[in-house]
Amino acid sequence: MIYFNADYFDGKTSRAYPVRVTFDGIALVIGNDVQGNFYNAEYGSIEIDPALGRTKRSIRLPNGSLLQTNDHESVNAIERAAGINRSWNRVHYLETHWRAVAVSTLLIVAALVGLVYYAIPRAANYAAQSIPLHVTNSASKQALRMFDQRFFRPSGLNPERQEEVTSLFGQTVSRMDPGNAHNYTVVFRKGMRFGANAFALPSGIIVVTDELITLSGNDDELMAIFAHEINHVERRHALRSILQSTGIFFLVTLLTGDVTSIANFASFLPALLIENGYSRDFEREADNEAGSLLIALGKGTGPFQDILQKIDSSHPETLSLGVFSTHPETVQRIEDLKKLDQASGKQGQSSRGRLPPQGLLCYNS
Amino acid sequence: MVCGKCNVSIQYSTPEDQPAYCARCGSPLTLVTDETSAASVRYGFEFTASAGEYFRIWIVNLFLTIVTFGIYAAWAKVRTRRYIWANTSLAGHPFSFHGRPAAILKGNLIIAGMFVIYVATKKFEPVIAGGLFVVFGFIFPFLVYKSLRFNAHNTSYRNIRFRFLGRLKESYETYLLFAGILPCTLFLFFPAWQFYKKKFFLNNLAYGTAQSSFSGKKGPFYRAYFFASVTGVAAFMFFSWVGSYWFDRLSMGSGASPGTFNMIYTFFFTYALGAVILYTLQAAIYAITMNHCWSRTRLGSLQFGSTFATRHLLFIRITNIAAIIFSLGLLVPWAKIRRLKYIMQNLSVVSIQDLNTFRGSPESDQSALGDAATDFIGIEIGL
Repeated sequence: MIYFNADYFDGKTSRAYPVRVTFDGIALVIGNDVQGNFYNAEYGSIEIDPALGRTKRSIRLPNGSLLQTNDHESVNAIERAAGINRSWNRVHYLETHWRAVAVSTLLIVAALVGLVYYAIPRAANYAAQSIPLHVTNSASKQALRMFDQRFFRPSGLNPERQEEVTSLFGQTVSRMDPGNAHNYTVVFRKGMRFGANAFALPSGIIVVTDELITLSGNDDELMAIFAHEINHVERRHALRSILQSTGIFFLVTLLTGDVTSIANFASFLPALLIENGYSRDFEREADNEAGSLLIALGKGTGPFQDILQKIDSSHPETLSLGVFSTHPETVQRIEDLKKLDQASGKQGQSSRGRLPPQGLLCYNS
Repeated sequence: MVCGKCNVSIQYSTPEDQPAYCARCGSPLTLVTDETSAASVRYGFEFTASAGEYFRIWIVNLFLTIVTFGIYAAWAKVRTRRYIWANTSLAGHPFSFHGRPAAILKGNLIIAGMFVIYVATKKFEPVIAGGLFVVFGFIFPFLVYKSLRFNAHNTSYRNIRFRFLGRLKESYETYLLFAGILPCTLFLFFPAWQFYKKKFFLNNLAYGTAQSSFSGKKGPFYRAYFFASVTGVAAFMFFSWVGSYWFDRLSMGSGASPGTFNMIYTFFFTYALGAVILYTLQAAIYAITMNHCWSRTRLGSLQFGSTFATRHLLFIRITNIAAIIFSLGLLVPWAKIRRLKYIMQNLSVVSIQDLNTFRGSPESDQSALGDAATDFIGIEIGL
C-alpha cells in the first residue's frame, strides 16, 4: 500500500482540493475527510508525466482530472508497479547524475569534433559529387555579371596574348581534368580594385585579370594559378562549401535549439571560424594539386611560389587575419609548397587525394 | 498576507503557524484579515528553476539530439518547455506543458525543409529565390497562427488549459499585410506593426472560459522606438567621433603593425560598441512596450502588471553574453534561467476574483478534432 497527499484538480474549475491518495497495487483511490473516497482509477488507465528535475509529479486520471504532488517516492513506486515511463526514467537517470552528465559532455565534444572535422566534410563531398555541375550554371553567370557591373572592366589584353593564354589554359585543363575539359572556360577582365587575381566560378568559368597576366613572369607561373583554380572546380569546392555551411548551420541550430540564433554573435562567430577553416583546407588542397602538377612536369613548385609571392606583394594592404581568413597566409603556402618539393624528391610521386571545404568565389591573394 | 516593505499582498500557502517571508524583499509577512485588501490580491509569479538542474537536462538533451541526428530535438524541446513551465508557479501552483514531441518533430521537419529549399534556390537559381521568399511570406502567417495555438493549447494551470482564439485572417493581416506595407511607409509603420503583433497575441488568449482583452495603445510603441532611434543614432555618432579621434592619436604612437591594430580597433568599435548600443535600445524598447502591454492586458477579472527596468534587462543581457562567450557556451542554461527568473519575478497579476473560481471551457470546445488540429504541427517561432 502506498499513501500520499496530493492536490486534486477536477478540470472543471481551477480549485485545488487537497486529497489523500491510496494505491493498493491495482487502483488509485482518491479521497478526503469531507467526501470520503470519491474516485477510483485503475493503474492501467492513468498517465503519469515523466519525472523531470524536482518538479511536482502530475498524474492524469481517466476522468480528465489531475493529481499533483511532491511525493516523488510514491509516484516512482506507482510508475514501477504500472510499468510506465521506463524510457523517460532512463533519461531522467542521466539528468540527475553528474557523472552521466560529465560523460555526455565529453561525448558531445567528441561528436562535435567528429562532425566538424570528419562527417560534415565527407558527407558534403559525397553529396557534391552526385550533383551535376551544371546546376551551378545560372548562379555562376549571375555572379560574373555582378562582378562585371560592380568591379571589373573589359580586358585590355591584345587578342594574340589572349589566344596564347587560352591555349595554355587548355593544356592545363587537359593535364588536370581531361575527362571534363568541355566544362572549363577562361575569361579575361581588367581587375581594377581586385588587382592581380584569379578566381573560379563553380560552373567552370575561370576569371583571370590583366594585372595577373602582366605580373606573371612566365607561362609556368600562370599554369600554376590555372591548376589551382581548376582544382577548385574539379573538386567542387564551391558546392561542398555550400553544403558544409548548411551542415554547420543545422548543427548550430540544433545546439542552440533556435533557427534565429545564427544571427547571434555568440553562435555566428564559431560558425564563421569553422567555415573559414574549411575554406583554408580547400585552398591547401588546390595548392597541393597545382604544386603536384608542376612537379610532375619536372618544373618543381618554384614558379608557383614565385607567383604567390608576387601576388602577395602586389596587395600590400592585405591584413593577416589568421583564423578569420579564408586563405592560408602566403608564407605558409610557400612553405607547404617547399615541403611538397622535398617529398616529391624522395618519392617521385605526388599524392592526389585528401579532401576537406569556402565561398562561391575562390580567388587567391 | 501583506509585505509591509514592498506594500504587496501575497497569497501564501504556508501553514499559519510558520512565519512567511516576502519573496521579493525577504521581510516577514503580516497576516491581513481586512476585507478591503482581500478584495484585490496581487499574486507574483514564482520561478523555482535551478541553473544546475537545468544544465544537466540541457546537456543530456544536446547529447541525445546529436546522437539521433537531430530527431530528439523535438523531445528535447518538450522536456525543456515542461521544465520551465513546471518551475513557474502562481499562487503556489505550477503551470504545465503538454505538447507532443511528434507534433514538434513535424514542425521541425517543415522548417528544415523550407530552409533547404531556400538555400538550394538561393545558391543555384538566385533569380527565383526572391519569388520563393514571397511564397514563404504567404506560409509564415499560417505557421505563426498554428504555433500560437499549439503553445497556448498545450499549456495549462491547475488542470485548465489555455487557448488561443485568434483568427487566421488576423494572422495574415498582421504578418503578411502589415509586414508587407512596411517598406511603403519607409518603416514609419514599424512601431505600429510591433503593437499589432502584441495585440494579436495578448487580445486572443483564453484560460478556460475567461478571455483576455488588450487595451494597449500605439503611442508608447511610437515613443519607445522614436526615443531608441534618436538615442541610438546620437550615441553611435558620438562614439564614432571619439573612436576616430583616439584612433588618430593611438595609431601614430603604436608599435603594433597598423594592419593588426586597425583590425582589433575597428572590431572593438564597430562590433562591441555597436552591440552594447543595440542591446541598450532593445532593453529600453522591451521594458517600455512590455510594461505598457501587461498593464493593459486582462484575463477575465485578472489584471496583469510588470515592472521591467531597462538597466536590469541590459545588465542581465550583457553579463549573460559575456558568461556564454567565456564559458564556451556551457553557461547557456544558467543565462537562460537567470533571464527568465528576472522576467517572472517582475510579472504579476492582480485579481479581485479568487484564483480558485476559473472554469474550464465546455467539453464541446475541446473536441478530438480541435485537439488534433492544434497538435498537428508545433513550431517554435521567436515572437
